[in-house]
Amino acid sequence: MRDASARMAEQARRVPWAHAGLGLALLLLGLIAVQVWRDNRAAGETAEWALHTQTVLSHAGEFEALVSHMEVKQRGYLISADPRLLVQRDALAGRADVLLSRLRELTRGDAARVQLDAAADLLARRRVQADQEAVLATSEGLPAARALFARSNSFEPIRLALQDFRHDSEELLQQRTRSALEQADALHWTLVTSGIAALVLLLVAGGAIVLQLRRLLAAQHANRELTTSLQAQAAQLAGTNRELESFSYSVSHDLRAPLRHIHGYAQMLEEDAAEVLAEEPRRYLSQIRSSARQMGMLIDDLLSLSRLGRRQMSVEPLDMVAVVRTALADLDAPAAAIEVQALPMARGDAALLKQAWVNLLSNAIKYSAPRGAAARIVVQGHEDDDGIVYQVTDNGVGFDQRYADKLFTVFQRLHSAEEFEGTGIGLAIVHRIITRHGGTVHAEGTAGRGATFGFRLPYQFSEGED
Amino acid sequence: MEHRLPADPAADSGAPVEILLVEDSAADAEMTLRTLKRRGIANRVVWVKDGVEALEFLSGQGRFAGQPAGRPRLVLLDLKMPRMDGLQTLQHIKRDPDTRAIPVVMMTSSREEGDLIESYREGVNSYIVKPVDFGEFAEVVTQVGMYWMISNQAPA
Repeated sequence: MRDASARMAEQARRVPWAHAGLGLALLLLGLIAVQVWRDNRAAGETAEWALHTQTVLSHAGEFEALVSHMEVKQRGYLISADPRLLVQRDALAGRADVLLSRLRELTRGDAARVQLDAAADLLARRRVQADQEAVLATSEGLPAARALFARSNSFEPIRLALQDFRHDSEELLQQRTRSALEQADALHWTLVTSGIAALVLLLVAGGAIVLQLRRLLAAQHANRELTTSLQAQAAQLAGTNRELESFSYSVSHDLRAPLRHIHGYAQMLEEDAAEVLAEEPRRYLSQIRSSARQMGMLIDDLLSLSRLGRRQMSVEPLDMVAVVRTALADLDAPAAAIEVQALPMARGDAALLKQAWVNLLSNAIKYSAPRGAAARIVVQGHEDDDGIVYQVTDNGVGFDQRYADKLFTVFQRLHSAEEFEGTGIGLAIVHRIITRHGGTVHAEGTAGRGATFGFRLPYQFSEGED
Repeated sequence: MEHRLPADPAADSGAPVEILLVEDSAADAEMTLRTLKRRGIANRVVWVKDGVEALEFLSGQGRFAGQPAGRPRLVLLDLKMPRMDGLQTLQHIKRDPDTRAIPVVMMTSSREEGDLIESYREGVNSYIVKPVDFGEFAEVVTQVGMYWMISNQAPA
């Protein structure tokens, strides 16, 4: 029994660890989920950037194409002086402007923007010059215009700037993509290790908890079996007890009649043969009678002890002082020698407790009788943490404290029958009554000085078994 | 077996039986009869050993056939007897209108609450527990006898 409960206690201590493990696993899983979500967002962002950069690059390409066409138209004009080419050139310029402004928007805050601005700047300057070439062509003729064109061609730089712009944009994209990939890689490992860790923790904790549950169920099962067998044993015990008590009752009962006969015939013999019997034989008869009487008292006491175990208790709140007084009324005692102090109330069976008081008080009276008029008996009571304590203190012959535990057993006496009459069952009766009330008895004595006998009743009444 | 007080001629001549003692133990019967005699409580006592004989006496049948139905002034009844025990005997006596008025005193070793209650329910007039001490026993028998034979008033 102890082994099983020790194991259960140990497992109860391990459970918080298993639960902690489980919690940790769940936490890790949560973290993994968060990471996956963030990774997803990052991937989305990277895709957006790629798309964005694609758009920028395609616009830039288109832009470069337009600018090239513009240059072609200009050069064509410088060759043919066809004013339609200028018109076409301006139309292209319009589209280029739109594209440029769109590019500007797209690359706002971009590192590559610098290149774009440079290119835009160069384009603006070229257009100014192109316009100058056109003016020169109409005012001074084509050769002059061509000479101006040849002197400072600002077209190539535009292309280069645009190329740089494209290059930078591409590089930016590559950087972004690369770092995203690196993060993904790192995340990948984190996920794998966290995942494994979480899985392991789950398995271990889950396994521990499952084992715990299994053991708990097994313990419960064992417990139930134990309870059943205990109940069976208790029932058996109760049955045996009942048999024993009815047996002791009928035995005591049947012993009475022959005892009566022994006593009766001894006395009748003594009466009838008084004249012919000498003193010794008459004394023998007297001894027969006295022993029969003693045995009768023993039987009576055994009977009342056995009856105590069988009676139904009727429990009610009691004024203990009143109970003590009814007990005193049953005894021949000069009330003056007995002081009854204020006693706390208690719950119990009035008749049984009265019997207990009768026994305690008659003991006190009996054993302090040698003191004569100086005999003092005090009945007192008080409440403490564990219950209500009642006591009878006398200044009689007392007893040796060393033998105190024998006092409450049946037929145990610490004084001989010659010194003090009695069967040694009075205290056993008190013990049984108090035990049935769920209480305890106690005794203290000093040989030659006096004794205190008492009992404690619990605050909460619960019937006890002997 | 009948016990009669010797040297009392009136007792032989069908003087009324004053006490019917119903007791199965010869020793208890002897002690009771001795006391009744010594203390001069009753002139004539009839002793029967169980309830069957007691009823036979009260109805003038069986062992007592040919005699008039007995009408003692007191029945001393033991509880535990063979054939018919005290309670059954008490029932018969108390349920028969002819014998209901006869005082019945239960004298027994038993102080069982159940026996007490049953006896009173059947109408026993008194219930005595026999003491072990003979002196006390004699005292009780005397008191009971004196009470029912002398103090108590009964219809003629």
